[in-house]
Amino acid sequence: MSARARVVLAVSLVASGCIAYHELPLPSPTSARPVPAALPGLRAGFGRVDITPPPGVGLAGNGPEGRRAAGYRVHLYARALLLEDRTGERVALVVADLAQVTPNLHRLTAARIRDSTGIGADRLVIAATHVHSGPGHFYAERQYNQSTSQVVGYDSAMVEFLVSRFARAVLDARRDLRPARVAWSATAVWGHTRNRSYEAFLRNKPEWTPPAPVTPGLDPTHRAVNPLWTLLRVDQRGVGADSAYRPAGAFSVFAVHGTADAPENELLDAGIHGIIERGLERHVDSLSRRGAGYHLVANGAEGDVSPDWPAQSRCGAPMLRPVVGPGGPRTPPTPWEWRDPAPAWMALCLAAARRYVNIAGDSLAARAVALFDSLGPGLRGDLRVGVAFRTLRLKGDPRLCPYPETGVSTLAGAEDGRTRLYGWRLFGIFPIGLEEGRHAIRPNPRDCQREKRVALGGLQRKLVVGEHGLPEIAQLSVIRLGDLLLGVVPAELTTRAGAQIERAIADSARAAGLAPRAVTIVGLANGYMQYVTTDAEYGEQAYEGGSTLFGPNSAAVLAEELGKLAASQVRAGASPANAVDSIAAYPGQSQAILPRRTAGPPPERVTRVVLSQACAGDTLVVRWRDLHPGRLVPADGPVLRIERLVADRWDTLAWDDDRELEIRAVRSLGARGYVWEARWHHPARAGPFRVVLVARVGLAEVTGDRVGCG
Amino acid sequence: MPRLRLFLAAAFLPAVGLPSPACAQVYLGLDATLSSPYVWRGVTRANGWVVQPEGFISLKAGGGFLSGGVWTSYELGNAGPNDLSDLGTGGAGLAELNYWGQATWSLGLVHAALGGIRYTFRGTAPTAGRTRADNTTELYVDLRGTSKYIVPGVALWLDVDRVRGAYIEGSITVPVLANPLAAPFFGLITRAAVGYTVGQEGAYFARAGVTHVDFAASTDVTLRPLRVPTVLRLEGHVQFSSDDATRPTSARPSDARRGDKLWAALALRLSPRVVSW
Repeated sequence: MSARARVVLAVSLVASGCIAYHELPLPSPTSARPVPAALPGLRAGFGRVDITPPPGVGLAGNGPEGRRAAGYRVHLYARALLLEDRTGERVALVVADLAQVTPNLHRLTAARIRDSTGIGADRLVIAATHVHSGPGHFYAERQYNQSTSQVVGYDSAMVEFLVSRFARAVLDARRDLRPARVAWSATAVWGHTRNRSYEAFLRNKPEWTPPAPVTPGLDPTHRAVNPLWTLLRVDQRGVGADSAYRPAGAFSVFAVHGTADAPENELLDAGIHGIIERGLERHVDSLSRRGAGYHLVANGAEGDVSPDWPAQSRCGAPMLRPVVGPGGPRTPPTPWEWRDPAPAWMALCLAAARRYVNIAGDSLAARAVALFDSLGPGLRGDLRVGVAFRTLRLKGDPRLCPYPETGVSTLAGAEDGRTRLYGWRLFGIFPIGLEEGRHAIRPNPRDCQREKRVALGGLQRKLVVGEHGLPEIAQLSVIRLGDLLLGVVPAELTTRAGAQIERAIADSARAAGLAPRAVTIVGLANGYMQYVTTDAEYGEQAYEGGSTLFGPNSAAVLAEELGKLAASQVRAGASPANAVDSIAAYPGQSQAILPRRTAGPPPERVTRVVLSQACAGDTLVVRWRDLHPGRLVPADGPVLRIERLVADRWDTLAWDDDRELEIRAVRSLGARGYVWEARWHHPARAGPFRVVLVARVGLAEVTGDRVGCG
Repeated sequence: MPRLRLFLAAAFLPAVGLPSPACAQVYLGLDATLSSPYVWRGVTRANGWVVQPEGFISLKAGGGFLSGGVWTSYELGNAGPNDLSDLGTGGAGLAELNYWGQATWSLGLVHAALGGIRYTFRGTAPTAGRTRADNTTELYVDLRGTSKYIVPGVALWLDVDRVRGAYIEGSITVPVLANPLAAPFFGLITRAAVGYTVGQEGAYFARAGVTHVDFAASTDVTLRPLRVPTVLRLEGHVQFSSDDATRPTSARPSDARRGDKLWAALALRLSPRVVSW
């Protein structure tokens, strides 16, 4: 061994030793044996819990461009639907407004609800909407905790924050279990989504046959998606004397990235999915007259599917520039800095993105409402439920690459959110593959990762990722809801990879005697193994190919495994015996990132007061003194409301879940509290207005002076 | 007339970066560079270890800074007969003391600095490289462009005291890579510079024209312990000399005609903001 090789080996070993794994064994709760219900027929229950953390956490999903949350806009929620058929077969579906869901969140939630509901990990599906403006710091793999936003690190308090709320949502759904009638259907929604990796998509043979007739006039990228919106409508019977079945909620699946907000967004926000969820929920409220409606919007095979965001909604990544700093001619120069585009430009593009989120969200919600209403005549109470589940160990599977590796195109970012590294060239001249396709493709494929130009080559695993830094397992399931099969995968499948897996599930199910009317992928569920492309798409090494961790055979392996799970469901509807294997998380050392409930002075030592109210154009700006983030947790309940004086009465116009209301934590006042700011956009609504700080534990309600905007 | 003066002053002051009362900040800066050898405009002034501490105060207003400071050079070891030294053989200690003032602006894609510097020297030995007789004053302007990959720059130093003449340095700076996450910043920056002199032959250089070409690589690590911006900078240089004054790397005759030299420096810089209004 040469001296150089010895040095490299020594450095590698030392560096590998420095990567802390902190192995956390996860529970393996298995579901109880189904017990036929006392009442015949289907029962359903809903639950919903606010999961909006306080500002200060990183916004996960945009890698180095993900900001620290300065505040929040539309709240994040976890919504749960629990279904139980006449044989006692149960499944709990949870959809959370997060970028991803991880195995630790899934297993820990299952352990929390197992005794009360009989539902273990095998019958629990937790899916993410994939919104890119939710918190991180909960990942089961260290590398994701280090790279999903500018705020790096794992925080076990964030895991507990989310798990406790997921569990509460499921337990609420269990308490809400009532006789129910359901119907499902799918409709094509064209024009809101487009394929962002069209060159890779075109590599597939045979050519794409859309699953529904195409709206005339669509350009090719808008046709290269799965436009099907699948919606399961649930009507519940009333309680006690109220025996009428009325609309209660729905479970939707639609493939669209949660990237309508600009990557530079600095607010926690449920994004386009938040608008869609609320759109149908308000409609259901109006129909049921029983209170809250529920709309769970899961994502489909959205890996290469972007919302049709306008170009002006993208600000542009920061650029590395020399800066003017204090000092003189002999002072060591000020270091270069990553500089954002000009603030005025940032404000314009963020506003454009928010406008798009609202408009597209409203439009998609209207489609969901129409589909929901169309299902009324077909409602039935005899839905059969079944679940087949398994834990696939990706690492070491001979059909896959031996360990996960990330390509250089991943570092450059997808079209929705290019990172600051996109297009970077060595000395401005020599390409190093930080792009999609082209130089990201290895010219002479020679190993398992084939065309993937692995970022940092062999050093990625040795020096950066470590032995357990990326996913090693995939929890897969096939859920039977009558003649609808859901293929649940912990990945972002491209359109064609999704179609490949749906076809495998359908073929296997039919071979086993089932007759599914449709198969739909529910992606980003029960874990996260990044992207999965087809073998052909992988050769293009677009962002999705670079992020297919286990190589080009990944889609084929998932198709095979999910096909087997589908086949294990028998015509009678009974679920197979689902084993729940032992797994572990490797998240890294826990740090205090989520603001703690001990932050700042306690409520009795803070005088909550409105500091200022002013109108800037059509925006009301209010500043007030309150508790520190950590003690003021948006998930605990509304913080303020805006009222307008009509005649002699103050009517509530908005509260802090309104899409036009932004709330920011501005600055600490130390022992006197924290300055918060609300900006409420009120187009075409004239005042006078006033702000009311809602009473909370230990804090009385505070009403601001009237302010006459407009 | 007084109103006209006031108007002109109000119009002029922002242009030179003087503070507007609304948003000014005062920074105190401390830095120290450890280098060996000490190379100035391609000329090896001391081939032993040199530490160069500096203190300055800067007023930030609008897009620029007004700064003033004192920079010093201490030779750490006693120079031998074959060494180059500003203090001369057997000396160690303070060799150079500079006073400077500078205004800096950011003008869109161009950064500009305008200032003056007074050089004073403490060498007294017969073999000293610089003595009181070498004290002088320069005015300078430094312009740098900004772009994604290549930052061109040009600086003109005009001696207005003893030496007269000018020294011009053109440079190209290229960032190789930087930590994509915001903090801590870690960057690898490369720079190529060429020196050119007019009218300073006989004083600093042997002849007019190109003096040297310098290739440098530097790494910056920015940390904020106790919220104080702290930069640790390590830089290495490879220099190709084209003037007889920039060739020597020591006082040995055998090193008098070297065409190339290597040198490195380690700098620590702290510049906390102390007042803001």
